[in-house]
Amino acid sequence: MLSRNEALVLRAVEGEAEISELVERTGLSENAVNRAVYWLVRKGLVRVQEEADYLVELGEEGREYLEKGLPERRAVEVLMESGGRMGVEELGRVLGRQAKIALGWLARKGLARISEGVVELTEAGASGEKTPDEVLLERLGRGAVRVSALTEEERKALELLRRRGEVVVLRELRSRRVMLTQEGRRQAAEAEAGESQLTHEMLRTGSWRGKRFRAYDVTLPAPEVLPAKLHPLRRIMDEIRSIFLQMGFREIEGPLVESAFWNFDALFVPQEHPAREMQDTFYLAKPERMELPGEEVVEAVRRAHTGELEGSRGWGREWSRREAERALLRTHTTSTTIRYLASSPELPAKVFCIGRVFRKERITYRHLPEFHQVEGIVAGEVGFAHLLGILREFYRRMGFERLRFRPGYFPYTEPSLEVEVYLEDRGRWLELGGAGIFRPEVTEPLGIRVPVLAWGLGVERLAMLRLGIEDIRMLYMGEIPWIQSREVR
Amino acid sequence: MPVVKLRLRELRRMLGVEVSTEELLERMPMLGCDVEEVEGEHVYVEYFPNRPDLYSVEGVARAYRAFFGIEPGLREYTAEEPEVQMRVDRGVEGVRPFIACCEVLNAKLDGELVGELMELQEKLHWALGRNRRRASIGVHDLREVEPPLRYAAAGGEELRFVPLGESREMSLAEVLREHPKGREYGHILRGSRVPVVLDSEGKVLSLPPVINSELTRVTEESEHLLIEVTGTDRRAVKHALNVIATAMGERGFGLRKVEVLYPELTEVTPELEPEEMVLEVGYVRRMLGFGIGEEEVVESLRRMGYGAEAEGGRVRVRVPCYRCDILHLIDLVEDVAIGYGYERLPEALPEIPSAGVELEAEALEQKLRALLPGYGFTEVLNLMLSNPGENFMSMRRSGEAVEVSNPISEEHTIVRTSLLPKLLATLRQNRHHELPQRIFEAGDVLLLDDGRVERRRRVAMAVIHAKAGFAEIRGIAQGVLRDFGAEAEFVPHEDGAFLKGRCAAVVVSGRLAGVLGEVHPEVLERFELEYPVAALELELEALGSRGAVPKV
Repeated sequence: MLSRNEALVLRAVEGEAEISELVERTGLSENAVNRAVYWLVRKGLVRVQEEADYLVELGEEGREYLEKGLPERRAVEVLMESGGRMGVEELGRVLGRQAKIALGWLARKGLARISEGVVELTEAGASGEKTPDEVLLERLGRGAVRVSALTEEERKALELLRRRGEVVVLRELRSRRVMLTQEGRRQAAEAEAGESQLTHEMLRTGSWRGKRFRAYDVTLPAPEVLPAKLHPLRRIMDEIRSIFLQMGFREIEGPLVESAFWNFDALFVPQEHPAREMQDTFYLAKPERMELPGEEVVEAVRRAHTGELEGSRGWGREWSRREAERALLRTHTTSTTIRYLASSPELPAKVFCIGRVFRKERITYRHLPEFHQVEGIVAGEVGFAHLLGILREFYRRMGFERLRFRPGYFPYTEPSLEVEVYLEDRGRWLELGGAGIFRPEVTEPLGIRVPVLAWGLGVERLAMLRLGIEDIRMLYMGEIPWIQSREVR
Repeated sequence: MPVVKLRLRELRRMLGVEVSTEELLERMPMLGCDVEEVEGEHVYVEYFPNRPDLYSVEGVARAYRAFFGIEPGLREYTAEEPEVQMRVDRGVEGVRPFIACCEVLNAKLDGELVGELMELQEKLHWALGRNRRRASIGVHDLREVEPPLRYAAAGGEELRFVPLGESREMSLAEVLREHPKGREYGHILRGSRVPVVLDSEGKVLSLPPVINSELTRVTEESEHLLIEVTGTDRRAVKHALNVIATAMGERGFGLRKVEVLYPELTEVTPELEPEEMVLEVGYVRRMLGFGIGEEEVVESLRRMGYGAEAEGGRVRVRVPCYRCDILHLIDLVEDVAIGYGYERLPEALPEIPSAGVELEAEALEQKLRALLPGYGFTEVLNLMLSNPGENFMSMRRSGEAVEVSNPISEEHTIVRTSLLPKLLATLRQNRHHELPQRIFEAGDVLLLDDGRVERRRRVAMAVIHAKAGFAEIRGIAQGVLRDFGAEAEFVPHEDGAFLKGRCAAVVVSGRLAGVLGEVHPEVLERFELEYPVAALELELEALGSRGAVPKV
């Protein structure tokens, strides 16, 4: 069970080899060889011996000495010329700058004796034989040598040369020697025998018969494959859509550019409400105003605001038609469900809508100026208990088992609630949506006389929870590998 | 929404029972609030904008005393008969017409309480006052003041006073011009004359809604206070006064009414009497969707601080004067539900037989999206907000677009009229990733035609790699159209975004349904792309749907 590279490397070891040799023999990169060796070690097929070693080369002085000879050798030559004996001062004059060095080494190497101001060659000196350090110098002159390749004597000579400063330079080397274990030897022999690729040729000629196919290590990971994929946020929207369709809801849609009338006024949001202010809503310069629907609806909505609707105080203030005509980018999909209610729909009705909404938010890890909402309504002889029932069913189908309802507040629903789901892994409740029954001030002006249950939920927040991300911008970043590697659960 | 900082010890003391912090925090949200965080002795709680009566520890304790069943039912407040008059000049009519006042007697304040009182004031300014426009509150120490009081309008140089926190006297105009509060709130007063509250000697108590006078500064020694609320909305003015006066009442301070003399009308404020409403039990049952018992309705309302008595199928409800949010009987229904406990409410699925119905265009879009990964395309999602530079100029195009009047930045000033620019921007984002790349987006664009907005569902696709070219994208377009059985013609087309001679229009039933080609190198340069791109943008309706948004 070896990967292709491992099998290659195993065969290339041939008893014992260095990494560089394996790179050469297999044609693999050094990285790939190292990886293969790592796995081969783990499988007990090879051993690796790491050794520290040094490469010895001539330094600048060394090359000079090679050319001119060591100072003491020159001294020996001078002494030989003058009969093996000379006064120290005289020799000094001949050798010049290097006299002192030469005298030191002559004595240390036992080539000459110095006494009472006279230098005299010894037998060794007079023989003219090269000393081991000179032999080594010459060898180094032919090329760098590893310390590990030197004999005991040569190493002593190296020590002598090293005392002379820049004569030799040592560079540290780490060598990794790879050696086959017994099992490795056996498998290498076996691997040699197997075929790797079943080929068209083998099949065409039938030559595959009788061939042995090498076993691979099937436990090993292969390179990543990333498929073309749908966007994770859209997939969650698809899922939500499918749940509502299964629950018997009709899908609707509505305009993105809305009048304040449909976005706010028809929802009984007072014209002075903070949400309507410029810092929360994108108003439009083009088009600046929108046409309002028929006078009957506009008048009925106006009456609800000013408190002329029976049973309601309204907001008790003036209502401006011009304010209602202002064009904006819808801030919630409720504008779409409310339009639906205004269209004299057949009752009872169950509808939903998934769509984009806009809020004047700066882009941060928590907020975007655009996001998606899913919105649903049920209009008929239903009450708050049914709203709770529908929400529990929906969230259960989305995979949230622990749910709680808390009182909430929205200007257009009463009673209102907030849905919270319990996040087991974080150990806390998270608000995931709002809901309620549309106020009579919302439904009655549209001619709806039955309770209308309504709820809305931000899709991005749900998606972030599912995808385990903290930064909402990831969803709109368009990082292709990120999208392609998301799970499809 | 307003976050109220509550002292836990104080809250417990006012509740009058031993209740653990944990239990308190667990049960508090069921009245309608978000517990934001606990910090030592303090808990930060966010209450809803419709319940300004809960913006003080006094109001919170009052609500939970009833809600926890410690003292359910209506809390009544009394105030002594008026001694002080507030005379309203006709001049304030067009300026800031309404005023309501209340005296507070034998107050005992400490530093923390003075701070909390100011915080309550600020929160009421936000919730009821709409940033002081509709209503604003002044609280005064009456020691240096000589009643009767006057509410009048004055010219900018007619009066001078020392504003709170200042050491020198300033004229009204100077305050508006130079004082920080004047600059912040002065814009609310538009005319040449501004409202002032004066005493009988002409000393200025306040310049509402801007600032009080140093003369009436409230300190820990203050015992005799005046709460004065002015504004442009009668109901908001009176509610703000009730909220703050009853909070003082909860402290055990005495309240005394003030007679407000308008030119044609006299009012005595605050009006602390509860309002009566009659709630049909049948209505409650219908809205809540279950057969709640009459006694349970009464009990639930009493837990929400109402007076409630059953009267054979109906409940006589007395609404406390500090509740500003009861516009309709439905608001009482919600309080029945909250008093009953949301956690106890039954749940049911409605018995409405129905079959799910998809939007045709949505179903088509989903089919298309399911198909495109088969062509090797990965789906991306972009913002619709764009800017003319990206949407038009970089594309060598021009045109009109829906335009935002208050954009968040120069990058988000218009709504996209084409999907392609953002798709190219996405490719730029992925420059450091492996090629080839194939991406698509299905989404909306908004076209602006003669002032009318038209929403179009579209799909756009782009491929980038060393050999991306016309044949590839044309092949894909053909394939997709074929997959939907759409009969399309490809005709030579000119579009600045594409190379001349390598651009085609897709024509379906005689209508321009899309455009495709090799993206112009200048466009690629603008999007910093260094490999050729072939792209396609297609109307979804070309694939078989009418795709239009139904007009409602």
